[in-house]
Amino acid sequence: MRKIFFLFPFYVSMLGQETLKDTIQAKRQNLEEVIISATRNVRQFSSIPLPAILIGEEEIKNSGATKLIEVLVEQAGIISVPDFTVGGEEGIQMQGISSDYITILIDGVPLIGRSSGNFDLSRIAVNNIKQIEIVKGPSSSLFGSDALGGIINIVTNKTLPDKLSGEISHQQGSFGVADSNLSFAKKNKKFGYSVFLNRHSTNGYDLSSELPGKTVDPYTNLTFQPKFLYDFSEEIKLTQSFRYFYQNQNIYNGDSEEKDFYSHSLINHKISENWKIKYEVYATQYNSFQISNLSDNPNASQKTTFDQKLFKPEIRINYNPITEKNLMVGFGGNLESLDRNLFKEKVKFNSRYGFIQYDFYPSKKLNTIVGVRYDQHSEYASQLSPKVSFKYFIKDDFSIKGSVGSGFKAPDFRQLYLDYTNSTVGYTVLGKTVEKQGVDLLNQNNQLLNLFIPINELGGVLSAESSTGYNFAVSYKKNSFFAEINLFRNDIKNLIDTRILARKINGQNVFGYQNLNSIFTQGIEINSNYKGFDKVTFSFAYQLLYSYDKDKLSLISKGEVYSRDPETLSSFLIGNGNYFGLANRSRHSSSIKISYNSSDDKTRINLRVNYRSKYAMYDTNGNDLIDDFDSSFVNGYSLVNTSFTQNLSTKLSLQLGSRNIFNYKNPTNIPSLSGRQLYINLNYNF
Amino acid sequence: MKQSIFLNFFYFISAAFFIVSCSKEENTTTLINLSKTYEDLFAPQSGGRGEPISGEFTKFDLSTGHITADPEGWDIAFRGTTIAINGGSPTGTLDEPPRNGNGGATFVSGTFESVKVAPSSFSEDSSQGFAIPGGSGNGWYNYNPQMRMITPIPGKILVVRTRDGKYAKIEILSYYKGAPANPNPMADASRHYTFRFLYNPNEGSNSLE
Repeated sequence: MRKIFFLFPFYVSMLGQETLKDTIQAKRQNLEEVIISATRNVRQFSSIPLPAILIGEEEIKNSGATKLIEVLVEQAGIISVPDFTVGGEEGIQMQGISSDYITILIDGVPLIGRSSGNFDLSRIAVNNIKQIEIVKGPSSSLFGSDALGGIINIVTNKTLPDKLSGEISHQQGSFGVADSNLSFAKKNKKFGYSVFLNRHSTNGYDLSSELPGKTVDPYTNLTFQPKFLYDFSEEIKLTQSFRYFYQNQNIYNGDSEEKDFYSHSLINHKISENWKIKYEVYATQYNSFQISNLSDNPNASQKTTFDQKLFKPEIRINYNPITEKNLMVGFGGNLESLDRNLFKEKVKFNSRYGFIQYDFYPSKKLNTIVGVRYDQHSEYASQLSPKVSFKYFIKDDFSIKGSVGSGFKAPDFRQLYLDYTNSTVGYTVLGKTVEKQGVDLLNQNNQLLNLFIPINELGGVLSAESSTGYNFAVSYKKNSFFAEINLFRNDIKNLIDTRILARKINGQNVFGYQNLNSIFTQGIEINSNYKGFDKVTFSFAYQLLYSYDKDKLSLISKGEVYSRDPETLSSFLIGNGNYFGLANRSRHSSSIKISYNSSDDKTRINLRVNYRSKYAMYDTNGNDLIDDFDSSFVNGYSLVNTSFTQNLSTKLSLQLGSRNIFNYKNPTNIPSLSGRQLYINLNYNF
Repeated sequence: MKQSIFLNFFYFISAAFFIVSCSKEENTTTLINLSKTYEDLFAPQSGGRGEPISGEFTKFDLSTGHITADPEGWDIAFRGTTIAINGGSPTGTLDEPPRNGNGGATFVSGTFESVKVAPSSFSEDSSQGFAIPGGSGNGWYNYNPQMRMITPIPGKILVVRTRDGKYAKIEILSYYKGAPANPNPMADASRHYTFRFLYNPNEGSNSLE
């Protein structure tokens, strides 16, 4: 998909770790792109039997992106979804599944720190990224909890050069955006290192001057990622990576701080030609702290703290008896803890898991991968997550692939342990495990007016949210043309939602969590590109999406759902045709990219257009679903980005670019769109 | 003659019958049902925000179609999102109006027009809670925590047995002043009920047409 020569270094880097057999295999693959996270082994991208997207370094660099979110939202069907928190954290939606259900990994290990569900993708700088791998559909058979809608893996492993070399770059853009990068690397015979440093700052922006504070407040963040390699022998090699991230944001009447840190150790042990073992130890921590002064009284200031830790050892054994047969067995554990001001005390989770995957070719033209993972957890029922996928080459240029997999998302700390009473409004929210004692306590203190759920039905077990995903694709590749059409469906059940447990004497409710809804998302994805022209590449992607709540559909079928006439405000019955679907889902989304590379590759120009059709934000007429008569619809829109890159010398390049060149804004409904951004970027290689 | 006497007698009887039947008809003339929309009934409350909610309920008399200060002459009463009914016993909330009537309330699913007769079973206020339950999705409204917006649930018609055993149906249309089609909870004043209702003043009739 991308220029092959550019991927060469990455391919070479993989050679260092793999066997001769892989080398032969890779050579046969003709230096093609590889994907790691789909199978947790290096696999040729074009042969992978799963729906996946690969975004290479060249594409990232040419787009001028500084943060991961900017790269991801340029893919069709990937939609940015802002949180309603102070920082306006942005997550993404994929195949209609929201960001809570998508695992974000760096070099195969998960990032933590979702204080309100979304993982904030603007926390990830992209300048040192080798490639981004996006695997769609449930991937819990390899990655366990949260990989219900898919995974995004950021690959930073690069070939380390023998001679010290690196890169310095700086981007200066609208809204005071300044993004500086320094990276360098070197490898001797046995020892190698690479260092990446990024500083990003912005003045933020203000879309509605009548409201106090800015829409996005100014912030500065710092990322430091050193990596060390040491070869004990030909057989035993160590990779040790660290990441440190710090962000400070001057929020309105307060201050906000975020930190994350990880240490990731990986030992590759080649026991024989056929047997390889990977020992991995991952430890990470995420802290956030926020203070806001609601009045002049310093004692009335509100503090929010969030301190999460994860320790994750894992062992993976690969048995590779003959080429094109790979058996992998892995096992590991998660030790997690969270200390949060909304909890009574620090809470801990423990889980153990094991997985097995067999990747083989039953016939020359058929590749099959079967896998299953078992997760045993201290707080909720055990999970078994199987997955089967295949790819069959009907002809050399024509293939079909399909997969069925299951995914789950464990109840999070909040849903289990929250014990929170809102000090301004006075409602109470209780996590499942503290539900009964919380209600008992309120009752003893004569705080309750009446109970909606019988006391003996309180507490109990919250099940994991779970899904089954189906994907079936047809691919055609001939000469310079490639097209793939994928049909997908995800059935998700046991979605956790709040319910009212009791009513307090202040008139407010006591909420608890419960497994409630079942939803599904289904649709069609089209990916295509054409490289037949001399210097111009054209690509087009599209997603059609339908997403509904199954219970709501059945209520409508039974004739129990009404809407309200926007003029007269009187009620009337609605049919299934009036049900628009889940919030924040667009029926259509597409992306078009056109890029020009001069024959000497010194000049590169691209134009990217991303479109999403209308969607609704929430129910406005009281029937708790989005129908055609709701007033929160946001009209469809396109964002156009462009950039121009010129190599000034072999070492120095200049880039000029614009994001959202037509300055599309919608302050009320899409506060995450700042408007047109212009930037200039200088890049020096040494 | 004989015939005329007979005729006269017949006329007399007929006339008498006519008068009797007329007077009888007079007695059973159906009173016209009162059907109208009441706009912006203001239902303020104090407290909240962690403190017990208090403040006087705004009382409404369905037979006149007006709010009333009469401690006895009311059928339903509003305070914030809470609706009390003049029937049953105190719920225990502060400042609630004493109940002296035989009122009751229940919800029927449908459009305002499709609810044609009052059902036979009603709930009353009691120490177990209000006849019209509070809380999002429980009673008459849904609450959107993102927008902090109260929206009446469409298709939930409140049927009320009044303090003296008559029947009425009520459809709450809006909780915001001026009943805007797209209320903005930040700008539009809340606790202003706009509802349309139909009151059947006829004793013993459960018709709501």
